[in-house]
Amino acid sequence: MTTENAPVTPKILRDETIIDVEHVSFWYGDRPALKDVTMAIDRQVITAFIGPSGCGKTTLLRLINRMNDLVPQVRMTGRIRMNGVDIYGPDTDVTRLRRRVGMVFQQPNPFPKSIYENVAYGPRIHGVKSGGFLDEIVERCLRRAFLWEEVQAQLEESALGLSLGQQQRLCIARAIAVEPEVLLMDEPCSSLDPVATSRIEELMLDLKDDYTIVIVTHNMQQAARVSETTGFMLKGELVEMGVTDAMFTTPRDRRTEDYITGRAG
Amino acid sequence: MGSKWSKDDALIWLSGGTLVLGFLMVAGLILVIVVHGLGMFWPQELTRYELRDGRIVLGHETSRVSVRTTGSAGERSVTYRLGIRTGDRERYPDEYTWLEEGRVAGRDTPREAVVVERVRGGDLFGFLESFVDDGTVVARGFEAVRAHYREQAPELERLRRQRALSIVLSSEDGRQHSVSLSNVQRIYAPNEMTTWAKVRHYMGGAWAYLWSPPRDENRLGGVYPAIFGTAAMVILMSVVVMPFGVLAAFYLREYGKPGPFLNVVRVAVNSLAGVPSIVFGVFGLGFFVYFLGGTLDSVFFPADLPEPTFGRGGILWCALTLALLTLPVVIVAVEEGLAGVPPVLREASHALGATRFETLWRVVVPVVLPSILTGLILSVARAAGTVAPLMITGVVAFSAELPVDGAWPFVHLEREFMHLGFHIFDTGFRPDGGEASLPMAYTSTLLLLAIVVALNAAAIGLRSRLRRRYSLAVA
Repeated sequence: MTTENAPVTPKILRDETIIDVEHVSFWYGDRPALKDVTMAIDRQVITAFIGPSGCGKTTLLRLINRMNDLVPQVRMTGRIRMNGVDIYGPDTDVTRLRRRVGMVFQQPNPFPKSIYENVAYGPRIHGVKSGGFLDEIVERCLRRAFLWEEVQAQLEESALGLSLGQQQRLCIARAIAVEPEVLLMDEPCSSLDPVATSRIEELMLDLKDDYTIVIVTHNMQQAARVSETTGFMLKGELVEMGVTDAMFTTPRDRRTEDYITGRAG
Repeated sequence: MGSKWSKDDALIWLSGGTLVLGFLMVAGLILVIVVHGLGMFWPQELTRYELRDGRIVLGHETSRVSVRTTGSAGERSVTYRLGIRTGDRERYPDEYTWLEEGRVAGRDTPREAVVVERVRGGDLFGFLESFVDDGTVVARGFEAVRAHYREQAPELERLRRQRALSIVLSSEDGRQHSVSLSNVQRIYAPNEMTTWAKVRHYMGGAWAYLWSPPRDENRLGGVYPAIFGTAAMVILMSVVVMPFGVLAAFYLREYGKPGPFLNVVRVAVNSLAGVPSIVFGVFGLGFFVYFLGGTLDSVFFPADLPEPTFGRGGILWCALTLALLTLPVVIVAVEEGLAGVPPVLREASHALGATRFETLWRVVVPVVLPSILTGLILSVARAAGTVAPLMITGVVAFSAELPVDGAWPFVHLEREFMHLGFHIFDTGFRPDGGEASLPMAYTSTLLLLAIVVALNAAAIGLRSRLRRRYSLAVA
């Protein structure tokens, strides 16, 4: 954790808030994807975003680690702060930001390298040389991702030989190998079977103690099972956000109710 | 019945028939090349033809063509004409003669007929008469001369420098030839060879073909300098074209901003691929040889002027010209490879805090490596088979020197060199019209074909292997 070093502005932030999104709007070309989204994400809880396809939840997620920088012809207004610092500010080093905000993608996407090299990739680019220390990191992260027992005998084999569920856990191990504070998960179980899905969910609940997890899912049951806070998005707007249980039992907004009861979306 | 034929059926038959026709033509071409090319080293039996007018011809039949004639009374008849390879260029220009089959009274295959392969002057067919050592006849008759020759063979190199050794050969009409042993490449008697001996002879011939320099104006001997020259030029070309092609493709796909400029560049690259190769040759001659070479000469070798050093055709200029020619092949192959790298891999790398360069170097390059190798091998195959531009930028029919040798500075980029493709042109289409070198042209064609096919097969094999390794397992 590097929170000690980060400048904090206590007036605005409650101390449990790690990410603050203020009046963010976003366009792909002329097409609006987010409309004036404001919200806060708390430290070391699991926050879920649900909503129909194209509602902007993945866009919102990808703004937090600036992955949308890679997309041409996009425009953003508003402000996103992490630990009080504007991550779109002129002094922000994008690679350092991404190191602190890890990401797990919809499709398991291990590198076409060995299992070991997949986990070692992040530490290596951040300057860790081969040797015992790197071995330790790899083992620790694989254990943390509930994968060590299954793969310890085949660390040098291709990661592409693993099952999809194992590949996704490897991607989680790869993400936590650079010691991020926040872990963004973009529909991490959408290509997995129910057994693999439940293993990932188990893993998320375990990781919660050390990481702030933001998950995008269109599986409402999953959001209900793992998250403490849920946001419902529709057509680029954040309709409502609150404690998960409350939202699923007594939604405040009519549109949320329609969506979670299956009447719309 | 016939009305049931739809346009669809017609199209199926038309397209299928075209395919079969094309396939048959390619197969036929390859068959012709293989049969002629592989037959070159097989010892042909010598036949002695006695003609009705008493003439005798010794040689082996290479063709038999029918001739239709209409007699004075209008009756039609078909006669046959035999093409005979006779050797002995002095008596028979082209080493060939034609015989009317009807005028052949008898033929036999004398056991003692020998072929004398000479270093210069072509083959002689005849009968061994005597072995002459410094003017003294030391052996007489087929068996004795051959025994003597074999006995001396190990020391021949030394002996022929000390003494004037020669053998006397009588041709079928009784004329005597004296052949100095220093001019003898090989003597053999094909009619008495066993199959095993012929196989050994064949192997030896093929080996010598691959590893020895040409003799007798490329008509005989090997193609080693041509293989070496082709390989050296192609390697040099690869060294030049790969960095340019790969970097250009990376710019086009990774760094360049999509827009009119990149489109113009892409169109230009594709047009480059369609330019006739001889145009590249003209450009190479004008730009590389005259301009670059001339400038180099005036700056670094002014003492030798007006004798050009780099200002004439050479292996370096050929390599640069072919590098230009094959640049589009590399660019297209690498660009396709880059387009095939799954975007999720780049995102995964960026999400871990990698910079663009780190992502490119550690993730994209390993994945795109098979495409880079494919581009390399395709360009090599293309370059190995291209001749036209080389003819004006530095390839020669015969060169005594290799571009790499033991003399300082060991690699001589300014030298002219021999090339397998040009060797085919030279042996197959000599201005003197001789058929003597035709077998050589077939064999060289076969060799070049084999090299190109092997390279392409390697490219396909490599690509599929690496693709399997790097393909993403998706649900």
